[in-house]
Amino acid sequence: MAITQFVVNGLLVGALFTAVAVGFALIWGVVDIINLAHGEMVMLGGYSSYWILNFLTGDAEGSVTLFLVTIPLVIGIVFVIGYALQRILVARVIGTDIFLTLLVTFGISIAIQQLAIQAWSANPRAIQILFTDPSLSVAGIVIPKMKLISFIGAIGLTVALYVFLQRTRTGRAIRAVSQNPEAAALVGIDVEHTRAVTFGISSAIASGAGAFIATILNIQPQMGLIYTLKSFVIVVFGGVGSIPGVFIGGLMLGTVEELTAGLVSSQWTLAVSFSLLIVLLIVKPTGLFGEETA
Amino acid sequence: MTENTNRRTFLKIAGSTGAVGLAGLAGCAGGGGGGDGTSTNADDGGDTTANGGTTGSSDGVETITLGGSMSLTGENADLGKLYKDAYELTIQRINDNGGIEAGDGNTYELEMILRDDGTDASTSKSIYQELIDRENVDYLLGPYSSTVTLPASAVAAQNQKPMVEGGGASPEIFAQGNEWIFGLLPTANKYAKSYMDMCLAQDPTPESIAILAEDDTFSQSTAEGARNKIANTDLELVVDQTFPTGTSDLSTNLSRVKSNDADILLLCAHQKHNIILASQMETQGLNVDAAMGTVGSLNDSFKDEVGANGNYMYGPSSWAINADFEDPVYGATGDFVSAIESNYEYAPDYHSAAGEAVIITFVNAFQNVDEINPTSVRDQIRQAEFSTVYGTVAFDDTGVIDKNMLIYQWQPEPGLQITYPENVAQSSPTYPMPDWNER
Repeated sequence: MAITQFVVNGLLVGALFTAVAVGFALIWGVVDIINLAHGEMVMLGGYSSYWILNFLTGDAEGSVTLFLVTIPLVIGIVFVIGYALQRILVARVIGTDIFLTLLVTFGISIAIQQLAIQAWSANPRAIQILFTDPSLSVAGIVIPKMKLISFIGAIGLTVALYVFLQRTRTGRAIRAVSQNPEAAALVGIDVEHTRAVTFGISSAIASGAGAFIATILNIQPQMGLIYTLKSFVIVVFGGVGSIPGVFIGGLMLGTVEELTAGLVSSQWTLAVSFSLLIVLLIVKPTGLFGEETA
Repeated sequence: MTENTNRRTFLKIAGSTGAVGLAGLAGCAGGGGGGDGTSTNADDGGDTTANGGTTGSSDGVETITLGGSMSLTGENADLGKLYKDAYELTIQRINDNGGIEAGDGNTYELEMILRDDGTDASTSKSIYQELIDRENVDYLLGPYSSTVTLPASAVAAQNQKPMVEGGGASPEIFAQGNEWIFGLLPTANKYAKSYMDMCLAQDPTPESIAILAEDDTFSQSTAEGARNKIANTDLELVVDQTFPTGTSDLSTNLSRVKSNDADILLLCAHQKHNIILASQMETQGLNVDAAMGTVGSLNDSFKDEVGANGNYMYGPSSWAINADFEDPVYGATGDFVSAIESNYEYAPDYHSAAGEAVIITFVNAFQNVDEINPTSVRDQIRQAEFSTVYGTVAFDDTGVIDKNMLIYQWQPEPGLQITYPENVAQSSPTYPMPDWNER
């Protein structure tokens, strides 16, 4: 029974990891950079939802419906931030040395963190969602309602991104730029705009996940790095460029971490995750679902 | 999207990203963030001393400079602010009242250099060395948290400068044979003692306990003290788990507590994890007779974040806001509380009071030595006994104040109440805590 509970806990939180990582994978695949500021978009999403709810209710506490209303606003706000960051800063280092892009995005992450500390202090914050009974119990397995809603929301965000990329004109443009930016430009696609839209979309998806995280865990200005690292592990697990791979990778990471915490110790979760990453890099560097090209 | 990265490029990216990411994570593990090198002055929040020396003259006024690092950013910035505010206000009051009439016959004003260590131990260590080498500071104000204080206290010892701190409680700090460190908090191994004594005095008497501990120096010392205490009782330790500081989800650990049917729960951790605990105990349906978080569970900011979920939780404190101790600067404890509330718009807690006592400890020493130098000040601190808003201050041979913890409980009405020990209790503890479905 306990193991089943650990697996359920892992799947519930793993879906959020997925929603965060899918945006990370998108930027990596399309803009061809490792965005070390991706976790900060999660943080900004959490704070945006927190402050909107605080504005509406006075104390960042409300019903599920009211909270869900904040999600489109959060996504819109952080999309604009992501779009602007790409246009103003990141675009200047695309095509240069990989270390320069890492340094620029790492610098952005530190700047956002410090601004957040100045603006909102380092105090941890959480959104309180009001339920009469906050959990379901199914065959002895406890399923917190808000975690279940977050699980559905995170999967919804991931699926929405997948459908957007497959079915819309902008989505096709994004895929075209990821495959061959020069050819995409030749057929009239505005590559710079498309890359900025990609950055905005991936930031927006991460922010949506961040809003859910604010309801089930808590948010702090310095929370971003761990989500960036988890995203990195998940993308490597799943394979760069594979949304289904990221989906499976996120659920796997959540489950492995919670099983490790439950059966061994929480102290071992990072060690186990990164050990698996190293093993995978040796055995299959392109990830579980990625394909190696020349 | 398609895969467009070959194996060599992929490994290069993976390696470099991992290096940068892990370096950052290492920084966070140490508390996160880096110091920004800013300093503060008690009078104007400026960024340096007037003369750069520990004693000297500025505009015809003799000054003594106190220097230190503090968590002004990073994970513990909220608590670091309490110390900074208490330091600044106390020094300002002293200077406004004409300064210190020292034992050497001179009158001095106090000046302070307080730099941000970003809650990072190595940054803090560098700051102290720099304050001693470049600013000629002889009297050191301790940083916040045991993890940061332990290496900082070693710098004080190497350079033979007295350090008085109100933010480090690990017994390790005082077990190094260091004669230059003085601590105003009861050591961490005492944090859980009063809580367990209180629980064992209740009906029904708890039979089992669960410990969840963060993997930092302070929390591990707290957990070790709790284990030693448990060994001398009939309590059975049914869960004993350590989790990384970066953990933001305790649900699986709480599932363990639930499945092992622990009667009482002790969380050895800081505010962030207390907030998670209060929320996830409800969502995981964990009902225990008592639950206590060791640090950050008594602040207003904790209760603001968790709302009614924080009701019935316990927390330890080395100080009572309603105490009545005489103080040479504020007059009495109540005046200090009013001064903090009116200047900073929050109620002080024991961190604030300990911060005030840090300054008064130095002031008392300056007033009672014939010659102001680090060795005579240290020797005076070691033998002194005096009253502050924090209570009577006197240090034992290892440099630790002799003080025990009070236990507070958040009660729906009238709010935060002292529940133990009985001779100072404002209310009886609500024990056992009501089950979640009864609230």
